[in-house]
Amino acid sequence: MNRLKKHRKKSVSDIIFLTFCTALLILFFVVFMYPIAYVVVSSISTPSMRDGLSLMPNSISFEGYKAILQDKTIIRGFLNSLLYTSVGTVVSLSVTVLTGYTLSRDEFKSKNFITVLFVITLYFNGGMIPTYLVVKKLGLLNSMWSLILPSCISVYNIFLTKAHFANKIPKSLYDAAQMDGCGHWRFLLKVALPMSTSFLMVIALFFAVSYWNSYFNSMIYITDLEKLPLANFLNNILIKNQTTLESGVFSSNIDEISAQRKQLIDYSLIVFSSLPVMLMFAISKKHIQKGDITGKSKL
Amino acid sequence: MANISVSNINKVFENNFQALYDVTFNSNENEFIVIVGPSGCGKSTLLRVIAGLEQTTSGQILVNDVDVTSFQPKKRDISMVFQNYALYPHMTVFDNIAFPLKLHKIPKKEIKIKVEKVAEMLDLKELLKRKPGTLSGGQCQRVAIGRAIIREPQIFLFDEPLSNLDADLREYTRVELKKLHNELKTVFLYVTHDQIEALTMGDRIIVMKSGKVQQFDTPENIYNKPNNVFVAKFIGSPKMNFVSKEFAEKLSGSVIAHQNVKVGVRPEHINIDNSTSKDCTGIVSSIELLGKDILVAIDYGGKDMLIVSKPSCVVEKINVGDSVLCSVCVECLHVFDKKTSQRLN
Repeated sequence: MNRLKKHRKKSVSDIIFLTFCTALLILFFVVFMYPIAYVVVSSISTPSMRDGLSLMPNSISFEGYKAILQDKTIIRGFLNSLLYTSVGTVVSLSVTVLTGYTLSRDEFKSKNFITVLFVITLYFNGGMIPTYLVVKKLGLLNSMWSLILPSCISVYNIFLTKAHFANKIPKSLYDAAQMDGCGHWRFLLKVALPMSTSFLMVIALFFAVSYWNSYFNSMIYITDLEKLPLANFLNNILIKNQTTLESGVFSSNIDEISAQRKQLIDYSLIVFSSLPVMLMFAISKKHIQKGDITGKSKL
Repeated sequence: MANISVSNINKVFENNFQALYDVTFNSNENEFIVIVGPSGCGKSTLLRVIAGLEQTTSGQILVNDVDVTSFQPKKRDISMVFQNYALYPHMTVFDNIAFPLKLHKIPKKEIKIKVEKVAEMLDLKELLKRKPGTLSGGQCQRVAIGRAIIREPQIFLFDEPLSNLDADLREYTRVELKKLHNELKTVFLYVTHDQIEALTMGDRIIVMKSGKVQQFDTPENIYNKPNNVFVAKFIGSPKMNFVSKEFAEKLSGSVIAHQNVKVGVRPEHINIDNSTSKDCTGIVSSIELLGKDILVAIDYGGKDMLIVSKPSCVVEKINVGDSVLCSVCVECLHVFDKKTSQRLN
């Protein structure tokens, strides 16, 4: 077969189509990669040397990273984000797996009714103020749980998980497991979950990225600066153009040099805050490539 | 010593489809029972009901005289081998076989000894570290059997376990399963749609149609004394010929006492005579060599009648288009009521 494929001649239309697709992919690659490469290069360049849109650093300097690592607020925000992301991902994944598994079982009589309830929340929700009041009444304000519990359920991910358990785990395996002595818990823990590692990694990545990047909930529910996640500092620094570094690299009198240095630190901060997400993606890459989300299955 | 007793089992699904109607049978001790029938006749549903994977609508299941009807599958002391083997793909062969014991919290040392014993019995020793994805169909099937026998249950259920195997392997595994049954000395309930499997493996056979038991008997009786037209037609290859009363009387040269009947004749019970006769001649429409036998189709008044014959001087001289005389002994006629389809003789 491979030999046949190699020797098969491509028609002119095939060549045009493939050339077009390749060109398009290269274009997308450049469009997406250029800003990332620019930020990474800018974060390690001497500020005064950076000019124009060049991707070549004239002189390498880690001044920006040094400033970030010396700043307690940023480190605290980073650690807060790590904590919220890891706890939030575990909680969200647990809730999603349990809900998705339950909704995937034919013997669960109310599954259609509950599915409808979930679908409704895709179109309507309580709104910001009622949610705030609920969080407040529950005494969650200014705590980690105010960032995790209100957003721990993603209906989209639940439906993905439901479809995964219903379609990718053969029903006969549950029958066999029942004969062997499993109930639902044991089947889920010993059979279904170990068979779904790729899928779970991808869902975990979805949750982790969403928790890591989330700043809106913390803006509303967290008043204590010490509890703010990194995303809020980023928001303040990059969007609101504030300088919050405790190290005092910047003053309110921003002259040209300090403006350049601020920019350097901004770039370094972007890279620094993106590292965990990049790391998560690198870990999950092979699982995403396996295509478990898209419907391929091989037992 | 094990036995199973199933009485008046009915199964109605949520969509009001009734899959089983008053299914009743009792096994003898350590019997090999084959459940056979066409697709959709309810044989797999019956097996799943016995296993506890489906709830009965009514009826009772006794295993060794204990009523297990309301028991969970794991508490029925029954093991099942599935059509697609249902092996856990993330576990090695060892872990697949050991899984039921691990769930029952058997000590690790004991599990190892038992798994090795089963692996030796099923010739799986070399495969213990491999995962199901790397095994052939026959090997997967042996692992599935290993997982079923390791618990030493009272009853084994097999849901068409050979249907995914090629013809050679199926024949080999049939013999191995019979040997296994003799070794284990428990009740085997074996579902198949293959009548050859049913006839060769079963101590007794349950023939099912549309959720009802048509006949529960020994292979000899099922073949030689089918209870009704369905069993007569379903069991036997080539199929039984059905002829009118008048033609059967001409074939056998005797009078059939019953009125409004259908008469069946097995293809191998019809004799071919090359001489001509006014009453009972037909035209040979095809001749097929089956190996040791010859299958002759004879056109009799627009209807084909199949005859299986041993090669003989007479048969070998026959050509397509020849007129031949057929005859059958009266004992070989199967007489059924036209209305009820039940056997009369």
